[in-house]
Amino acid sequence: MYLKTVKIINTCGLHARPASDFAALAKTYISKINICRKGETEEAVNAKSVVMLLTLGIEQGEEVDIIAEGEDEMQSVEALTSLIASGFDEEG
Amino acid sequence: MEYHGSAASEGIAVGKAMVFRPFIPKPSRLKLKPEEIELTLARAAQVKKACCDELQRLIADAGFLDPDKARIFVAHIEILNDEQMEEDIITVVRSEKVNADWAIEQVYQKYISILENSKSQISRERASDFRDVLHRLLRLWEGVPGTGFSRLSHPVILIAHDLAPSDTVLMDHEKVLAIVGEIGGYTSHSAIIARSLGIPAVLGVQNIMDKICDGDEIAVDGISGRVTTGPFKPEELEAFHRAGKNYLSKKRLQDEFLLKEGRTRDGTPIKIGLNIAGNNMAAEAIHRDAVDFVGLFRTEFLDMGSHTLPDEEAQFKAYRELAGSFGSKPVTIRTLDIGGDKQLPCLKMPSEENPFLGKRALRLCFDHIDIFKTQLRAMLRASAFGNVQIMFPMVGSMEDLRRAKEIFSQVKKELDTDCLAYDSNIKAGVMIEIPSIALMAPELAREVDFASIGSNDLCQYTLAADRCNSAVADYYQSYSPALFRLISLVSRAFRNEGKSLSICGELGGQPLAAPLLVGLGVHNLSMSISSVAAVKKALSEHTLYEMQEIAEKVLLCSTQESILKLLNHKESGRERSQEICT
Repeated sequence: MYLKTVKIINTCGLHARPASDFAALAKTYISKINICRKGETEEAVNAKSVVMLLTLGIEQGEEVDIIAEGEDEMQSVEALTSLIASGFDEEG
Repeated sequence: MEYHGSAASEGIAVGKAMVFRPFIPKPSRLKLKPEEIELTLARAAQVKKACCDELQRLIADAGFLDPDKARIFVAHIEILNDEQMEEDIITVVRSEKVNADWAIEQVYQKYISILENSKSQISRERASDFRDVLHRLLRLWEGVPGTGFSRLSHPVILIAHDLAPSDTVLMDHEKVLAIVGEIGGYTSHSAIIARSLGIPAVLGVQNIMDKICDGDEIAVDGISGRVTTGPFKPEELEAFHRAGKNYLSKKRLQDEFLLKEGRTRDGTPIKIGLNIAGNNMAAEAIHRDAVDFVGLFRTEFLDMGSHTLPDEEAQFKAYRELAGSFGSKPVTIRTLDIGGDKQLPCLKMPSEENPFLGKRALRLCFDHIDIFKTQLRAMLRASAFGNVQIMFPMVGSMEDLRRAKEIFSQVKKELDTDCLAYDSNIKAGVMIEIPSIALMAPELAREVDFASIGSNDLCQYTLAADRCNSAVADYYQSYSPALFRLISLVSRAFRNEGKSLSICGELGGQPLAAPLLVGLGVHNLSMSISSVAAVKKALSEHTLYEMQEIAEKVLLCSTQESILKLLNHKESGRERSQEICT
């Protein structure tokens, strides 16, 4: 298992396009990937599901844990955290 | 009857209603035999495939028109293919041994209600996409083809509970005059689509479907958010059509000129500024892009409603936000201008016989040094976060100016002592609204960084006509020759000193006056956003030389009547010559 915590910096949080981009990237990995608010592991949801990301409703400024388990767990978590850290190119 | 909703897309339309009731089946819960479970799941997979195909076709059709619209259906495919929902549906079918269409509805409704209760506006609006996908699935489950508005026989105003994105996206906008919805708001898909098609929409009009029948004559005003039911009298119809035309011509003007640079016909740049008040601080991005500076930020509106004056921190935050949002563009903040016609509930002021000639603005601040200093501190601190400049109103003499500047330097020193940052090159200027200071312009220009002509007050003080007293409205001549002679004098003095001069009174926002003011040498015009496009257009129609020529003529006029005649003649003359050209 591989876990990493990252802060959401883009203004609209994990909604709309950022949520789609996030799930789309998650789906490119084989590992089982979950996401939750920092420390709330029991509330973790499937990171490959846009629907679950939307229902989680992460806002700007919140911290999330991304947890993966599987053969590409490290790559997937690193890629997803850097996508979040990039702010999803929101202005572009 | 008149019904109200939220104005979701601007414009005005009159026409016949078409009440839209889409086919939305309601699945019932059936208990399945074990051998039927795989069948219902297989059926669900087929329907999902059909749904995906339909969406792919819509993407192709919509993408052909506008890639932005196709994005909605891409999002729908994403929902349709969502791993978690798929898993949930299968779980419900298997564990409860029920039909898949019922399971689909259960699962979708579960997520729809979570989204609808979300704190985020964006998520709440996304619920309509989920509902759209659900309805498409349920309709296809029943094998019913989709309805669309792409082939309407005559123009209609659509009345619907909610228009799903897929309903509106391929809509024939020639045939749909306006949209009225029972639910939704400015950020709903229907609103976005209506705006992109340029058709009016009023959403969130509760129970409107019960009140209007197919073929009813109705009017939709997407500017004020009103829906009016007919039948209409000819004069009412005429009024709607006129309002619609006015809106369209104004919109065309906005579209063409709002974001253009202010320039004369021969290309001389004229800086266009924005007048804003404290109660609508959040200037829209388009406003920021439309102007070169903020010529007047009225701070008194920050306070008007409340019973205590905002403290330094609150003011600082407001000014910092404002300055920050305009980036490097100068933002002119005027110190408190109360008294006269503006009172503050939180500041007791003795009643005066003649408040416009009484203790207003700077004079009042001199009496309440603490309030004045607090405001100056907040403004100075904000200057570290943007291009802030400070402007003193109601300066009547050089003594007034020097006194204000003295206090200003004290405040700077206090900030130095407190180690608080500010822009040490911050510019300080004055409003020119009292004739006595206008006449001192050569001296004034030497001691300030800039000045801005407050034409409304300058007019009332020059002509001794109270601008709030309708009995003397005819004496308040905003095109008085005396006013233009004063402006000319001020303009010459500031040009000689190489100091910046602007105008932030109503005159600067009038298309008739703007070219004349430029001709008089005022190359910075500040106004409310609603005037920007019209002024830019007026400036683009004359060369600088023509403007100077007309200014010379105006300075020779002896009455307001002759000035107006001259300006109007020039306008109509220009229109005539344009007609000949076209």
